[in-house]
Amino acid sequence: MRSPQLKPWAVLLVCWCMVLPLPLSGSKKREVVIQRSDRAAIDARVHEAVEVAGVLLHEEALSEHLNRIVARLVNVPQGTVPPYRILLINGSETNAFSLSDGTVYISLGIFSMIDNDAQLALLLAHEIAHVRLDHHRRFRYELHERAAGSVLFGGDTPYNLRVAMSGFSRSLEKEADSCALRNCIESGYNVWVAKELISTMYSWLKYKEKGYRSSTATHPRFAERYQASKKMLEEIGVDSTSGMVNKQEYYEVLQPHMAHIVRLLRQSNSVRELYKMALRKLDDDVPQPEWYYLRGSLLEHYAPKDSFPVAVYSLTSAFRNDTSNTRSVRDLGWLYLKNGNCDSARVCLERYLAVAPAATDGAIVRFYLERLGE
Amino acid sequence: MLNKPRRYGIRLEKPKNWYQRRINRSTVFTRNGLALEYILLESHQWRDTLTNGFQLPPDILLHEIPEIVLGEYCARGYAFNLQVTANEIIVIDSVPCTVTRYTLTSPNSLTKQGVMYCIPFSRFLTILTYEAESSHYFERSVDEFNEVAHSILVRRKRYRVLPGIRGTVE
Repeated sequence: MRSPQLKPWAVLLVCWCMVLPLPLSGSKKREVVIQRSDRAAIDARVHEAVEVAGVLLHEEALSEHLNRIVARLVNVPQGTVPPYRILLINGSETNAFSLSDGTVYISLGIFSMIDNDAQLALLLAHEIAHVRLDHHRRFRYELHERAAGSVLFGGDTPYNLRVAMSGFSRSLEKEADSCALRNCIESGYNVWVAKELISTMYSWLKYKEKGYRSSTATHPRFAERYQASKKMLEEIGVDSTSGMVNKQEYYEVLQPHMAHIVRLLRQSNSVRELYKMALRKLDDDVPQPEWYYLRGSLLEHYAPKDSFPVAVYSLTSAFRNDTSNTRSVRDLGWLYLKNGNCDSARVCLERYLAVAPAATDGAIVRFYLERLGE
Repeated sequence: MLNKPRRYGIRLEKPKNWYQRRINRSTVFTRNGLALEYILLESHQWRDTLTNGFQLPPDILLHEIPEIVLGEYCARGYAFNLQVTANEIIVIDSVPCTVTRYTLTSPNSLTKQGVMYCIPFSRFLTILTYEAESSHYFERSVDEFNEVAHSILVRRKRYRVLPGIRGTVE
């Protein structure tokens, strides 16, 4: 009997099929499941990168506030530590991401878009939902690590925007959105107010990325997410006035960090949005002295001629509301100087030196005072 | 001697034994390579639009110039973790200008130190920057940069008297 002869092309075909399983007709993209040990290794790498970069921010009051919100979201008994760890990153990037071990990293820049506790809860609930639903099993870690890198090393350059993508697929993001909204409703937050965060993020990214939506290319479109959440809330029949918003406490906790956040955003190509944000927040029903200062300072810096009366009003109000804010007097001095009102400038700068004689910019102020004296 | 008053508004002594190269509207000097150290002389037009959409305002106060220039570097991704360690106004060749000292992390993860002089002129802003890797190269060449900075001669006719410093320039 003649033995069957193996054709070389058939052998090659079989080997290829074993190595790369052929996609079934009509099936979607092949899903890669990441093993638990691999996930832990990747998490460790991200933690290490954060440590090495030295960008972790240790702010007790803010961390406590975040932990309180998380405890409310996950409904743990009082005094028990929730299984999620919230860590703050000292960066201007408007981003937050979670790891499979339950760590949620939040970049300081994102606080510029959040107006109250309800919105903060929605953001945290979204990240927690990724962990709860075990999305990290179906996760494109390569992208995620790059996203973490962009958060750590300044996320506003075009290059970093390009790589700052989430590792989740769009369907997973939608699932996390829906889970987060339900979680917020159960925890007693006002989800109608909270979902406005989606529209704020949309306008922010639209401006920053000039329509390319590179950093959120793996997310569903913001307009789509907004409509989906609105539809969901209407279907459930949630009352738009019920639930906690908690704006006052949010502002009180954030107040000491605002100057730092503003400095970060100024350095990161976000001044125009920052300015809009200052105006928006000032129109709120809880105007804070810091916001008056912020608006006045930005106007003094970027539009001293066109917005002179508004800037003077803002800086004066800032000082009147908080007399310890000596920067508002100094900036008022700069504003008068730019507009040629030397007498008022001298009064303001002298007052600044009298209140803060050991200020780091004292030498510069004295230089101008000498010239004004001449 | 580098004598380009039309382009930069100043004259200065070149650092000895450094390579010189022109890139667009700027002149750069280096001895060990641009990644490790360089002295950069550049000029920016007033009303140049910055990356953040605002313009370099011609009625800016003198001490505010470095903040805007360094902010622009960060926005363009040339610098990360930027910290200004000192910002002061000094007088060079009888005209006031700013000297700013800073540290940063470069895109290739080197920690660098820098010194930046900003001198405003009627049509442009001249910036002289020395930036070098901080652990070795900065200290090694900072004296040579100081010699360059002290040799600056300003074309006073073109100097821009910014608000608040009127009466200073002869």
